[in-house]
Amino acid sequence: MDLLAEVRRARRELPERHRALLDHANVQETVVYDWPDGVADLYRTLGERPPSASELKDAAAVWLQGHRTAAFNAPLLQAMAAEVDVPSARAVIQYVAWHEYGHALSLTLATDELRAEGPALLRLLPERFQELVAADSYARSQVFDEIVATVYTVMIDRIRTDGYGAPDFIPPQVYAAFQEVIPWPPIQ
Amino acid sequence: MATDPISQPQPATFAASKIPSLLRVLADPEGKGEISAEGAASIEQIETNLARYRETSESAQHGNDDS
Repeated sequence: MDLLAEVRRARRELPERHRALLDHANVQETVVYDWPDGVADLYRTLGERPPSASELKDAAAVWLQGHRTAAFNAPLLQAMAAEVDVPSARAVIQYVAWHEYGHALSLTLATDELRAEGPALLRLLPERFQELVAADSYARSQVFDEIVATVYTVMIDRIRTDGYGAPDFIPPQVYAAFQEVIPWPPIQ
Repeated sequence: MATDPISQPQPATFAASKIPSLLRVLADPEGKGEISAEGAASIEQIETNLARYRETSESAQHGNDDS
């Protein structure tokens, strides 16, 4: 499976307006085959501190702010897709990619004021969403972007079955914050 | 106000350990316990694959440490 092609396919499947925002922000993607050394080198070329070795080892993807690039862990994604049927493997890569694009949109479009609301918004989410955001792994200022990335993945996936409506399981305050960052519905 | 300034970005990683939880939420966003048998089997296989990958990469790391 051509991982970079799959990641780019996922990007093409996003709403046109979101793709335009990603293009405007010059967001790019890369697949790193010599993980973790290759991605640590990317950080160093930017003069940025790479995540710890343990964080990198367990990372499916990382965001390189200086490059505005989402870097995907090829060995891990390939291992993850083993013995899984091709549509399911494609879907997982697509979800990871959508999460990263949602993260990129939030980093590009959210304000510091919105980010400050992250921990409070997190507490409003259903427990399974809170666990998914895994706020303990992030600084307080990163929680908001993780919430947006998580909600974004769910919202994009729901377009096929439920359109652009507000889901019942996302609290109104979280949905409103999401809409402040992400143009939603993207056809407005 | 945020306790740590955005002007000092911290590395943002998406942990692979979150993927099975993400798949479960996507398969059953309302938490009704309505994941198909096929979907559940696929998620279990992915969890197994991730655990195997973690073991392999840890073994490789220990091998490098020993050499």
